[in-house]
Amino acid sequence: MLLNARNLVKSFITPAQAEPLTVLNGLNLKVDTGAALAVVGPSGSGKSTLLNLIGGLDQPTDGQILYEGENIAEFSEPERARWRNEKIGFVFQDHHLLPQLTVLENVLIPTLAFQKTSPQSAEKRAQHLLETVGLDDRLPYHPAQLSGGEKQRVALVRALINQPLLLLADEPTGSLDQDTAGSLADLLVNLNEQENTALITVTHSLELARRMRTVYRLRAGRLVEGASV
Amino acid sequence: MKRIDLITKSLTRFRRRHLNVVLGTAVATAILVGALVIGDSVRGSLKRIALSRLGKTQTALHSSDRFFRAELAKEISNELGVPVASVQSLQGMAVFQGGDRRANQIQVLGVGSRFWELAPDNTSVPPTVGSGAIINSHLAEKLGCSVGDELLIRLDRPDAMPLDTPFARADDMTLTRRITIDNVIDDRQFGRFTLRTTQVAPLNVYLPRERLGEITEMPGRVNTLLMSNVTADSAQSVLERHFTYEDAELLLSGHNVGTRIESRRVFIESPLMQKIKQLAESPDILLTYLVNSLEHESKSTPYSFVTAGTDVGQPLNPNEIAVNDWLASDLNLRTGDSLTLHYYILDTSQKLQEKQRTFAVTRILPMSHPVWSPEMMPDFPGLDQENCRDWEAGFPIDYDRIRDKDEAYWDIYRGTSKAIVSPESGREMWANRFGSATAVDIDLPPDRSEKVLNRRLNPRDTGLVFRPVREQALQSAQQSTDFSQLFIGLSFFIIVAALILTAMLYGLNAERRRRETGSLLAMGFTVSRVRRLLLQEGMVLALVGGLLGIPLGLLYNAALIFAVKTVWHEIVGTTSLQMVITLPSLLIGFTAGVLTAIGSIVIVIRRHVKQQIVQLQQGIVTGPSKSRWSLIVGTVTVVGALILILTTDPRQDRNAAVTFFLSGSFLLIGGLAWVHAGISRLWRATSKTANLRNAGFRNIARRPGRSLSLVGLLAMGVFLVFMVGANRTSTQQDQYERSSGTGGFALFMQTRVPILENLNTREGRNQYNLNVSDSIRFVPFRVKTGDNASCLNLNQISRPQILGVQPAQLAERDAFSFISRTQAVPENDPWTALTQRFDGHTIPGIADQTVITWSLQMTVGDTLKYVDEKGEDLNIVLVAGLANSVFQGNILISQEHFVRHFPSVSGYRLFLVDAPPSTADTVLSELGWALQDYGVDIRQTSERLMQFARVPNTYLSIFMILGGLGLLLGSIGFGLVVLRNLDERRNEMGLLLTVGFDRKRLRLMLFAEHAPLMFTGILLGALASLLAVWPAITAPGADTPVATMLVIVLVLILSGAGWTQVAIRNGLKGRIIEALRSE
Repeated sequence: MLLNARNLVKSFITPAQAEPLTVLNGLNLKVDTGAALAVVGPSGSGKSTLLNLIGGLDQPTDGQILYEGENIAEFSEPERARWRNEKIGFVFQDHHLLPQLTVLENVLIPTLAFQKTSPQSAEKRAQHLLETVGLDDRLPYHPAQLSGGEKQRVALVRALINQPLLLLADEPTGSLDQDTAGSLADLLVNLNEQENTALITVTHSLELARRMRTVYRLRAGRLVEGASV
Repeated sequence: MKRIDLITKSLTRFRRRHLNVVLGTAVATAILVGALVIGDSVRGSLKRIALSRLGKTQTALHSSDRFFRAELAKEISNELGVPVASVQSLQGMAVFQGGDRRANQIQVLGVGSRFWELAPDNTSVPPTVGSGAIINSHLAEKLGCSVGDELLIRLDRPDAMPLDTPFARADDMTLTRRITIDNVIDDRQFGRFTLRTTQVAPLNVYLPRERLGEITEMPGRVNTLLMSNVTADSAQSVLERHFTYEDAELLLSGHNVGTRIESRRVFIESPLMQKIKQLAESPDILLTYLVNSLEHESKSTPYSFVTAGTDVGQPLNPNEIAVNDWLASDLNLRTGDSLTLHYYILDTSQKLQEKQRTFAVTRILPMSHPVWSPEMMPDFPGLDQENCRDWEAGFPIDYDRIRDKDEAYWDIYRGTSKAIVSPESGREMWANRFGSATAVDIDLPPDRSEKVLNRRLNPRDTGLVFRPVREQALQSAQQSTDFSQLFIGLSFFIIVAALILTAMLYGLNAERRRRETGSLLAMGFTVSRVRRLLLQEGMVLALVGGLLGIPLGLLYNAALIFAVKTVWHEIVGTTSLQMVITLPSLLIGFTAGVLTAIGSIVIVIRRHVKQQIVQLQQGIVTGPSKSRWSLIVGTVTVVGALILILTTDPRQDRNAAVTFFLSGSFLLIGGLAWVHAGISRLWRATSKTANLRNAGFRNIARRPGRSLSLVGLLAMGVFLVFMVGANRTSTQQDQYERSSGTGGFALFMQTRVPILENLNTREGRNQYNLNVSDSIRFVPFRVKTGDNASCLNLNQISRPQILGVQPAQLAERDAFSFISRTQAVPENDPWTALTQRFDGHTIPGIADQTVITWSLQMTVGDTLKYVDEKGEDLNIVLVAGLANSVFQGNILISQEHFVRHFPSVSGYRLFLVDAPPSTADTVLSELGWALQDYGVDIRQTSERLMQFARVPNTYLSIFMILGGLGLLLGSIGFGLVVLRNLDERRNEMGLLLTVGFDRKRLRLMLFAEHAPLMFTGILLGALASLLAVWPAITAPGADTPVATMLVIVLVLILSGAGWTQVAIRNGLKGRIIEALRSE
């Protein structure tokens, strides 16, 4: 099993309320290698929070997240950074491309963190992935010169550059029009299959959710499997 | 792609934003470089001045009152093979245009060609002296005269005999000559020559040495030797070999079969006496004295010489006297009769006092006896006249008492003594600080005596010592007031403001890129790697800023030098400052500027990257946490401040200044804590009601740290600048308080020619035609000239001028205040400590604490080392420090110690005048008029204090002005905070524009939100500083620059408002509505 989230609890202290706000309340989730699942739910239900916890960007208030049997909470900060760099890929609703870098350079950023492969092979893979998503003619472009869909495709390639085993996508099509969202969804599914990368996507988009093999609904801080979408 | 590419691309992409950071660093570096270079410039200028005043002189010997053979220079020169200049150097005054313009302190130099060879630039045409004189450009400027003009110069008459010696003539102490100016020379031509360690240019008149020798009636005698390329030790050892009895002002003559040794100074000084005594087994030590009368019963013989010590065949007992038969006949004396001697001595206050002593006549010797010789009479000045009635003695003579038979005796026997007493009696009656013998007879022939005496004499016996003047001058310049530190301190607030600004600008840039930081972290970059990336980027910016700061610093330095030479000239006392740039200063300034900028960037980066990744990545900004502690800290400190104020009386409590400073500081800290608590509460308070104003306030409250730092920056800046600035002092109101720096005295008077009479007596006043009320009292001081150790001299001084005073005269008035003392000094009567004796070479001294601390760089209890007039070590232990007083620059010792160690320093040259306030001006003009020929410089004591106060006051002004500039720089921070807030609220602004608000209304709304922060900071700082300096600004004599402070506040408000407006306009520029779309 690739990932096993057990009894996850996440609470927030808010200035307006005396009691902490509990967003996730005993949530359990198991993800196998190559899985493709979607988490849906209303705004504020804790979808993004769940993704951030799984990706090690945030710490659960209680519970465990085991990645390949290892509790990620026990990782030191550098270990967690390295784990995230090598094993996890992130795609956000906002692409978060660096405006000062070209498309190719943006894709290569994750390879700079630890440089486990040579720059030449990293670049080769980047070019290959960009070609796969149809952006081989946009390599020297800056983000400002790209459309929304193109930016999001660059962000997706960037997430896959280090060949992660788990891709976390937070509303990846949220800022895209219907057509573009559809083609990005195709891309996600294809890459999931081609790269054998497990995919967890949280989304409001029913179209996108339906493309995943499993769909969960987040309700009262817990996941309900097979919920109607 | 490499990481370096990421850095370079970021630098290139965000270059416009980074420019601000670069400029901030550049300003900080520029201030540091500027301050360091001004330190170099002052040091370098002092060094240049030192070299200019000494020319090529390396070693010098100077005595203010001892004149030796000019030939000595030639003899030393021949042995060492270097030119030695001999100079007759005198003090004097110059008058131009009938007294309309005068210079009271000039140096009159009798010089020869060797002197000009030592000039800094001896390649320029050597100045020629015709029948007139040369003056330096500084004197020409002071008097407004030029070549061809005539000057009246009045010289202090040099005399071998100290003026305080009994019988010395004191009526004709100056020589006046009219001279024509032949040439005016500049500094390169040795126009700045002086051996005094000072940056103030001397006022010099140069005459040919021979001509000055004729004027002073001291031909061939000089008091200064100058030489180059020789160390002081070598020069001294050569001097010792060539030093003769003539250089010690001794006179040798044949006497019977032996030699008689006398002194030009009449009394033979004890160090020389010691050497003379060693010449023969049993020298005859003679002390011949002029007595006022010899009386027997009703008969009296006036004005006669009596000798102690000569051999009359059989030793005399102390109460016995031998007389000649002329006296016996005149007074009808017989063996066994009593004879009373009436004679003058100088008492401890140097006043002539008549004493008497009665002897029994044991022998009457005929005039033919060899003991009676006219050579017994010393060369008392004024007595070398045809008739007794023509004597011009230095003591009161009743000419009516001189009879014809006395004239007849004078005609035949001249100064032959009429009586002889035992050596012991002579010493008891007439020995004084100048010596206890007027002649010594030894059994060696004159040529042999001369040889042996010359071998035994040492120039140190007469205080003649070569000094390494160049080395000392350069050392003084090197260790001078450190203007680097001073200006770094004075510019401290600008540096801090620039660094805070740099940090804020960098912070603003970092916040604008917070999503980028979050993304990098999400992609697996470790926190430390992200920090390193940002730091490397910041380092490049700091380095560029530092490089830019160097030329800016030099520009700043040029501005500072211009200000220091003009409006702030009080702090350097010279306009001869030039920019001196040294590589180490540039490197230190650059490195310090860059490192401090990097330091402030590091702080920002640490805080920035510390935020949770999710927040950074999503650009989330959270509200403030609860701030109970701020409220508690604020309340406790403000209450503490109030308690301190309520329990302290600013006028009575001695520690009021400290207490109020603490109160002010507490108020500042407490106020800031309250502001923090208030801002945090604003978040909750404004959450209840939804309106635009509350939304604005909540934005301020959302970043309490940012808002607080802004309020704190302004509050602390205003606090610091006002607090320092408000300490300006004047002495206009408390000048008549005994405890003040004036000692309660109205006037401070200095004369160039010493005053020998007691100005507190009617006779003394008549002597000087002083027409002042009896209620006016004088406290006189003896002056041993030295270097000025006041704040007006930038050089480090090791031997300040010494003043000798009778401590009782100050103690009885309880004058002046002491701020430090050793345990040996009694608290209730500190002045009496000056009368203590430690050992023969160590005496107590008192000085202004500022002189002790800053000029001497010592503390109370430390010892100053001098060489006294006898060439012996004199250690002055600084036993107490005075609060700022008119004595600044001097060391005070008791008169008793003074005359023991400097016996030849005659009379008094400094006076404190006790006069009722209402008459001070009248007394000032009367004294100024009556003593004008004595080179009097008289001023109100308060004016003298103000002269000193001007230096710290100028520093305070500089601090205020530079601090004000720092505040202005800090006010840019306002704009930045607004910009940062607006950056975070672009969506909100977009929305408001969308729903119908126009930009003008938004600008007003934003200004209204931020203005309270500015006013809170300024108000808090002003209130706290006002409280902190309350005792100072309400004290008598306070000179609080209210107008400057108000101007600073006004400019600060305008600047803050201006920058806020600039930021708002900038923030609202562009397509804000698009921000909504991206959301």
